[in-house]
Amino acid sequence: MNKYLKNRNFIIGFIFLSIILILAFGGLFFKPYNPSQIDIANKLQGFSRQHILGTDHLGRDILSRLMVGSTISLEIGFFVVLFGALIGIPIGAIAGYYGGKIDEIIMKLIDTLMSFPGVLIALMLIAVFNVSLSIIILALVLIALPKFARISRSGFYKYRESPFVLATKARGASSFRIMLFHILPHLVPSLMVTASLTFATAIISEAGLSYLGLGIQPPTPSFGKMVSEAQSYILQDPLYVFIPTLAITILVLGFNLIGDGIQDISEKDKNNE
Amino acid sequence: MHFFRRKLLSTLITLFLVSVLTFSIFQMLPGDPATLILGIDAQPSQIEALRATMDLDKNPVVRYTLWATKALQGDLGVSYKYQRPVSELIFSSINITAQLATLSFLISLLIGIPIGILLAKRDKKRVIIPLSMFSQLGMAIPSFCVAIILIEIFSVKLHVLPSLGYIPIGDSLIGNIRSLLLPSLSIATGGAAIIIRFLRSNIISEKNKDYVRTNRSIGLSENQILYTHILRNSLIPVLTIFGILISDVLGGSIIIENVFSLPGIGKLITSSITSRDLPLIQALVMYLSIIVIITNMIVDMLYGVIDPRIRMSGNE
Amino acid sequence: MKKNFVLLTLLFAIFVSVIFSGGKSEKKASEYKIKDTVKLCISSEPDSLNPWISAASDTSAIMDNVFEGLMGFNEEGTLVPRISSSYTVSTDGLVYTFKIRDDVYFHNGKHLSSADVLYSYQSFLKDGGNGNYRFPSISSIAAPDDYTFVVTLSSPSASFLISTVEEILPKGYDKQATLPIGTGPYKFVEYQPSQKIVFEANENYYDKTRLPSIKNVIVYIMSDSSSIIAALQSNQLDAAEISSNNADLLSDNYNVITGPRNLVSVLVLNNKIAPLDNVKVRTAINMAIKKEDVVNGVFDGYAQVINSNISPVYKKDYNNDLLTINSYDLTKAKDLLSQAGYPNGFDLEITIPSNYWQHVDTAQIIQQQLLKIGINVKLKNVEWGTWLDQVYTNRNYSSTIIGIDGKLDPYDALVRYTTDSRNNFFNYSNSEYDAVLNSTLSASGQELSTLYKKAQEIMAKDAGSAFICAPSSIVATTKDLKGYMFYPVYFINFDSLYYENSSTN
Repeated sequence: MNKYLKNRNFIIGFIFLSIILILAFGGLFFKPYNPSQIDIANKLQGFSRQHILGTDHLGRDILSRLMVGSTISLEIGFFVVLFGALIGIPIGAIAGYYGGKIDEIIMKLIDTLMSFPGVLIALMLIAVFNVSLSIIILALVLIALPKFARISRSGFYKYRESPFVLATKARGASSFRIMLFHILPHLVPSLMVTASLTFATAIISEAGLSYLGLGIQPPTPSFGKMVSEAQSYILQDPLYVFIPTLAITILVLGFNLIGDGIQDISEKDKNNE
Repeated sequence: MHFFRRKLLSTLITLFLVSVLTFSIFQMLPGDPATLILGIDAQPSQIEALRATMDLDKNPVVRYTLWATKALQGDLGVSYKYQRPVSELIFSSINITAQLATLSFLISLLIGIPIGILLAKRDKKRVIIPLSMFSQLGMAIPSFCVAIILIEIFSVKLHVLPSLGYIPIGDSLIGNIRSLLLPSLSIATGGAAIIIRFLRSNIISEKNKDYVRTNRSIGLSENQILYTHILRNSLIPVLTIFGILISDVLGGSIIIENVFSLPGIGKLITSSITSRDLPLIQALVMYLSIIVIITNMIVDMLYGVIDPRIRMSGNE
Repeated sequence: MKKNFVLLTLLFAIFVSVIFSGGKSEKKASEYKIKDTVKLCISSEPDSLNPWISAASDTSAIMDNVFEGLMGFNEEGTLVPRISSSYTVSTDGLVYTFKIRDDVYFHNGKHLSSADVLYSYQSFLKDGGNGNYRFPSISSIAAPDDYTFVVTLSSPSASFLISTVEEILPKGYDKQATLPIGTGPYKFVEYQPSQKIVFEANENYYDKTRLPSIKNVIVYIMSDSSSIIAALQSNQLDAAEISSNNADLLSDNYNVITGPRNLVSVLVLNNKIAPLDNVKVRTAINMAIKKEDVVNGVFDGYAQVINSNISPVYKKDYNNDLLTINSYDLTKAKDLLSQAGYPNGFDLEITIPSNYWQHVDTAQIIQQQLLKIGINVKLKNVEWGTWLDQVYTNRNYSSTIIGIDGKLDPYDALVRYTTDSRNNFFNYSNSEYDAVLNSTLSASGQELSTLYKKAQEIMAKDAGSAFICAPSSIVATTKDLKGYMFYPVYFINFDSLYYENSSTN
């Protein structure tokens, strides 16, 4: 643990992430206002004692909405990375490790999936099934999956004939063991980078979908939804746009910095071996 | 020759899969293109007449076969919404998106590679902190937020760059670049940040490899090692994400073209889905698949150029 | 290290020079152009350039500068002569004789005669008509000479004349869908899909009092409201319809003008779905909605509270006395719900088309308001194509929020609610309403207005749906652009536009 506390990237990232986590978990127990409570008379108010972060275009308390929004955004990012990695990494591993026909077929399918731009997949899914949190997550998983698969494939491909793998193979270890215990650990840093990137992309893509009017169902807020609702008020109340944008930035930065930190540390460990 | 035939065959299979998939998804989509085009006040006779011109009265299998036979002969049909040949529409918009993509790709490389190297060197702390902040921020802010900020600064406040309208290269080269600069920058910040991160982390991990130690021990300078050996090896994983970057740029262009009212592929994609314009979306998806397939082929070939080991193992 | 720095500086220098190099030349170009070009925008792609196929109001709003009918309409909605210089009606009200002008030319130089009018009307009447207007009970049409056109009706109809605004196209010209031509004050030049439509003044226009003052009109297709604002502020647009929240902000540097708009924002209640089939439940919903909150919250005050199914834009036919019916009263609303058997309220799903943020916001306000009488609203966001399919075509929904457009004739707005109208996705059915509307067909003058008002009253008392407000149209123009006018149907008249002091700048 000590080594994590010495890494600056990790600490800053952790602090950033904590801000959002505090918002999210704090919101589960206490919210200053009902995040859906509309108060037209008090719309677009700046900072005040009653509303610490002001109110939105329907007079709802921005802090309370930010609290709910952070849970939703974390949920989206978490599930997208989880499912993207759980499905993508094994697929890429099999393709890269075995090579040949299997590799060709799997990569063909992955390429087919990748040849649809992400937003197009999301647009189609949403048009068929209507907007819901799980459909948005599904769409974003489909976007994330090929990236995990490709990164993992190139890693497994690179290591499958390396001396230590050949040596382990000669000792009679099963393919599954080799992949899981001998190759995968070497790929952790680059997969970590991919995971942090995917988390970032998921949050940002959700914002993009909201911008196109296809995000989370109102009145539930997510960071992306809040930015897209706010953006037409940029001239009157710049703070209204600024706050959710800042929240996205903090969240994404937090994950990226933690990813960097873990990578730095794993390299140091490698050097010390 | 055999290699190319195989590639061609597998490309055709992908295209077939993609077209069947798109067609089936469109069968599930609720919404009638004729009503969507004419709006809710159209007369029933107007809608019926339009439906008949679209072959919507026929059954799906017949329609797919009709489409596929024509497509194989090079006829992609006529767009429901624009009433123009699909190939003509795609040609004029792919032009714009290709320019947008090239420009944003160049910008991401131009920003990404130098900064990535600089950050990996880890020597000048004073430069590193603001630059790494930039790369982190570039990835953390959604592209349309970047676009809104750029428009506010360059179009609204300074009046130096346009936020709408596209000027063809033929009319004026500088005008063309100017009309695409803000959208490209908006897309490129994200791409540059991704390149920076990958390059930095790859260079750092390459630095600790045995061959670098050997080179160091024979007295090569750090810069020599970096530019002749490390960079080459570090660029391979960057190539892996080349494909990802291309689809990011295409995906990013969907949103960014809406912000800047650019009549590119992205705009065509959104409008073809919302108007259920099947011939158009089919052709667009085909087109994009071909681009991705070609990109991946180029990536594979470049692998060989940069790392001969892969070429050798590929020949077995 | 140094090399990198030099490279970066160089790049930066190139970047800056590209930005500014064009800047000057563009300013020169715009100075030069400013007097004869107007740049406008519309929010959606034209559905068809052929006016007989087109049905979208965004399209006719601009394309009707190119085409004309026998008659046209002014900003009051009254009919004015266009291609026909005058008309006479027989005493029994059946035979209309139109005098066609002899100085009208199509944009391709072809002279217009009664043969073109006859050809156009033959097309309108074919298969029940392919035009946008109803042609009631026409028994025969004829062109006795080159400049006379005669229409004979089978029974007298007050609304026949309105249908004569339908566009006249030249006989034997088959490129209307790609290169449309008409007789109007502006000529169509080109259409670049997703980008712009370009028009040019028709210098040979016959009506010298309406000769265009602006030579070129470019209409950009832009859907994003903040992009529109940015384009206005950077002088890339000269006039544009803006959303209400930006109106106050732009009023310092632009002329912000507002006008009525033929649109009614409605919480549509599906009258065939329980419990909305119960008039008491519908009344309770009406009483629980504070419409002022929607007007202020969504439209920033730029809307008029209504309780009628047509917009106040129809000055003489709009019923202004309905606001007291089912007005805001939570206690009564709760009582009615108890009487209907829902003392604890119920769950209600509102389907909203997600591309209209106004409707989404309205829905969120109504959701909060209905909660006060125990109705638990669930919002269901759908894409526009899905909305059309589920709500409009298949009527498979409980309630929705939508803006309903009207046509030139109030009858077209009211007839949607008759029992067997194919547009009646409200599933509203009241035989008294049907009868009143049917009797308007043969009525005219004051009697007609009274009948229209009666129909609105029946609807309001039935609480057929919750009619919330009529939003205004808000347009921002540059300070020197004058002559922007509002019409009872969406129409941007190019020929009334002009630059004041065109020598400045």
